[in-house]
Amino acid sequence: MNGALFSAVSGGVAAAERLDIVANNLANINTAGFKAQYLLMSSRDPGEDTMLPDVGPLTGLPGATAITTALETVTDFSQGPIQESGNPLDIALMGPGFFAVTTPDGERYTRQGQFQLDPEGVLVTSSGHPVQDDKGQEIELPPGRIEIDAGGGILVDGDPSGRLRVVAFPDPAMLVPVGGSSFMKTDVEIVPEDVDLAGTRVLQGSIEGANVDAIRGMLDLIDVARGYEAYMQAVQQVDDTMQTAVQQVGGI
Amino acid sequence: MMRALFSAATGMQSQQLNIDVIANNLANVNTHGFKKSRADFQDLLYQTIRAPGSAETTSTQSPTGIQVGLGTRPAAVQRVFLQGSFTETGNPFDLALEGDGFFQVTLQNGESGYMRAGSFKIDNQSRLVTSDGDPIEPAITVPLTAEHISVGQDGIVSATLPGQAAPSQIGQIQTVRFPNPAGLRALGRNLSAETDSSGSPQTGSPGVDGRGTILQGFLEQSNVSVVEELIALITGQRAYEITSKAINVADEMLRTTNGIVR
Repeated sequence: MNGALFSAVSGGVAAAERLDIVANNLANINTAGFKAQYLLMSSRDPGEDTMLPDVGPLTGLPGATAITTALETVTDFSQGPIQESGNPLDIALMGPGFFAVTTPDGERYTRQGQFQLDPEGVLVTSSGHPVQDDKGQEIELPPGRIEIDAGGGILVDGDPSGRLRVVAFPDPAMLVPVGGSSFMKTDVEIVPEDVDLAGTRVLQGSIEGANVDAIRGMLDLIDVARGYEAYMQAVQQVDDTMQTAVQQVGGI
Repeated sequence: MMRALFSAATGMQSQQLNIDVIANNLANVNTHGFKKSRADFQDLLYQTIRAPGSAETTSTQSPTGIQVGLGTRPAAVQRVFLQGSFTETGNPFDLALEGDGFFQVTLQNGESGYMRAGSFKIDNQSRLVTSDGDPIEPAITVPLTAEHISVGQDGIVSATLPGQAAPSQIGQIQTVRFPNPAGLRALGRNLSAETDSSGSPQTGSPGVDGRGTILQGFLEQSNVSVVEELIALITGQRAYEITSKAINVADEMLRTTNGIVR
């Protein structure tokens, strides 16, 4: 088949994949602690040692076609805007790091600090998973007025009642999103570092908003829509050329 | 079909819920003892198209792979039990709670209800009841002849009875705390009910064990801040709009695709 046709289609497929990512970012524009994702694209020249992704119309394409493919998704771990809520169990992180959470599937990391207390007084996330203290245990709080200092220390009616565990990863690529506003390690052997709280501040009564930029999102939408149109135009051009070739070449 | 369509639709549904919650908060801006709610969201599952660490070429690996998120979902609509401000009414049966806790009342079906709105009245059996006629628990009967009724910070109700110089105690209002008040089930009519998530009620005298004190002659206003709600309304509406744009783009792309084949 015509390589040019597939080159154009590959661009369209990548654009559609990019739209999926942008739509997810925009859908989560009001999700606390959400981190935007971006799609890295790569172009392959003919003759390169390519392994084509096993997706859609590109499956089984010969390696010697210049194509564009989605290479990988990257998560943007930059700080989201801090919004004050006044609720004592809304806890935001200013600076790098994550709260460590115990779930049945293993340890998860989140920046969504919209915590609650369960009936036993254990500090849990909005999914009901216990938040870890600096020893990796769950935090059971006695009734009383809860204060949390910038270092993550918890005081109930003035009495120290544990410290939140805030961890960091040397390379953010070690984390992948798993939904529920949380992340997991790509490899179980990675050991997160307990973050030095001198650089990261724990803010009580605040929520970290999503770091999705609405303007960038709109630009991405326009870019995707027009880019896709252009690729499809190219497909049509190739089609026209082939039609000409089929119907006229050889005619007198 | 494209994932983007469905991801964007979850965003619109979530924002719709967000607006519903805000509208209820705004509608109750003048409801005494009302506690505002807030919708919390989480991102949905991620679909792994290429796993992290899979081979990119024969010698390199893709460090993070391709993971596409599938939108958002409401995680919780949680009530925020921040203190509301006080209005002075001068009415001896208007009681405000300063700090944690709830008044406990007996509902018509015999179950207990819990409320912050302390606008009490006296019914035809001289009992202290809510505006709906539900008696406070434990019941307090105010003798018909009682004068100068006062309610102390610790809930002790005293009144001057005829022929007595000193006021005498006619009962004590008890309040209730919950380990997780956000887990209470709202019944409407200012009332909440106990659930497994709220934990069991801890009844006792006001001002003891973290229970707030009682302020007589005042009512607690709703803790809804109109400005905050309006800002949330604006961001909610714009978020709804922008996710609908993503649907537009997906639609346009599908139309373009359909236009190719002649």
